[in-house]
Amino acid sequence: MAEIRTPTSTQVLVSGVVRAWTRDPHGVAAALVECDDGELGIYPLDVPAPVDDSVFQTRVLLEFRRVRDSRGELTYGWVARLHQDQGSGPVNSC
Amino acid sequence: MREVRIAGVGLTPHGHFPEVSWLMLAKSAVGDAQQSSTLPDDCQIYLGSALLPLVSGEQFFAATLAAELGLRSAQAVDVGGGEAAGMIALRQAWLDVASGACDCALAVGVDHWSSLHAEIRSAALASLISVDASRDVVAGLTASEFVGQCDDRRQALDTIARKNRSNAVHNAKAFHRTSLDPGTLDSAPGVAAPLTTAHAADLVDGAAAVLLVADSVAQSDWPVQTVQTVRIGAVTTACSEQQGVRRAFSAAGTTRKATELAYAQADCRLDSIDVFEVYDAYAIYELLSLAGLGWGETHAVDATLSGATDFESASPVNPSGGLLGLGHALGAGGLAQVVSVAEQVAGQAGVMQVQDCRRGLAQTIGGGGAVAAIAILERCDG
Repeated sequence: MAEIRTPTSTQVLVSGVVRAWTRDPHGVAAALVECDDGELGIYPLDVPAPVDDSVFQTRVLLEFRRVRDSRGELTYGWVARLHQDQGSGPVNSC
Repeated sequence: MREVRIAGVGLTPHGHFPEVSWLMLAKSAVGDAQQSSTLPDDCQIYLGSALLPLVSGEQFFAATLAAELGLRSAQAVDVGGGEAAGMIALRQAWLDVASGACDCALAVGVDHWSSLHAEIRSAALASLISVDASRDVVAGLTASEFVGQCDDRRQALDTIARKNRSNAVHNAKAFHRTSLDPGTLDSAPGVAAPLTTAHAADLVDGAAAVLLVADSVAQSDWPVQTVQTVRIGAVTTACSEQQGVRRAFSAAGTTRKATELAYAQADCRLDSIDVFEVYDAYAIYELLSLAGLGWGETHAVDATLSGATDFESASPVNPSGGLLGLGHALGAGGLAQVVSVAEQVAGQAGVMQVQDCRRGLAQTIGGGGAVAAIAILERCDG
């Protein structure tokens, strides 16, 4: 994972693919992202509600910015933002 | 290695008991395991818990329990491992007796959710998976990845919730003793999609204990106990080969490693197991556990949907109700399932008894798959 230079900056650092997504008890969508560098991480998923299964296998870019954590508190953290140009939609159908 | 028998098992009712301490729960479980026997002074104690240090601020629970039981020469050891702690304690107790280090050892699992201050519960649960996300989210992501867009896999989660809750109706120790009706299942609040509260075990207070003795002692000096005809075939643990976040998503792989060791140790195969009690703190983990035990993912789903894991089937899974029915006392969870298997193999499971049950398997994981533990119990006729 690339180093964080300035915690307040919005910065695309790594791209990856959504392997799974969920919505936590506080309504925050979270994604399991396999980054291109092989790292696996869990990040808030920054897409307009409602999120649906079309985000499976969609490419995302990771940014570091201010988000709400799983308890609803504002903090700085990684966010997975859908990559508009390369979204490939679901591929893991039965 | 010496043969090791189970001299007794104990399991407390599971539920929310704010007026009862963890020590009282542990003593109650040990008392049931001990029955009329007197524990020798040098009986070893291994006590597994996931959250007790956060509950009480202490660190020496096994020593406290040993003193309370009057065991002046006991080696008392606290065991970690998150939700697998009780089963890991069993492995250590078994190794002590099997190796000849002692003739008698106790494995105890206990946790007391009610005592955990509400403000630290989220952080405490997060510590069990070592990932910067809630335990619910990790389970939800695990389920999401497994299910994908496969409706049959999604339905299998519901089937497991219904099956285990239905089985628990007959379990006098269970927190849930009512079946899940379809309306409740459909309207259950979300935990982390696709999981709802119906797919997640309630966190409760409870304790389990398994008393082990060397075979030679069991046959000569030990009072007759109800489960003394049960021996340990294998108790194995395995660690995930993954690092970081991947470690919390390796339930099936880590179970597979522990399974291979267990089948070799007990000289048996999947198809010679008569009953299974597996980790189902969230319904998704029952499928992953079965996959790791050798069923494979597809067969685990198909078997679940076709009723091949029901109580009346040839391979009943979680006939006690599992953690979804019993309630999940975290560090005690795996050992509670060992107790259920021991009662099955001894033919002492009452209305939950599986017919012709001679060999059973209990499996648990900790940290979402960071560790796995398996116990295989067998009936011995001598």
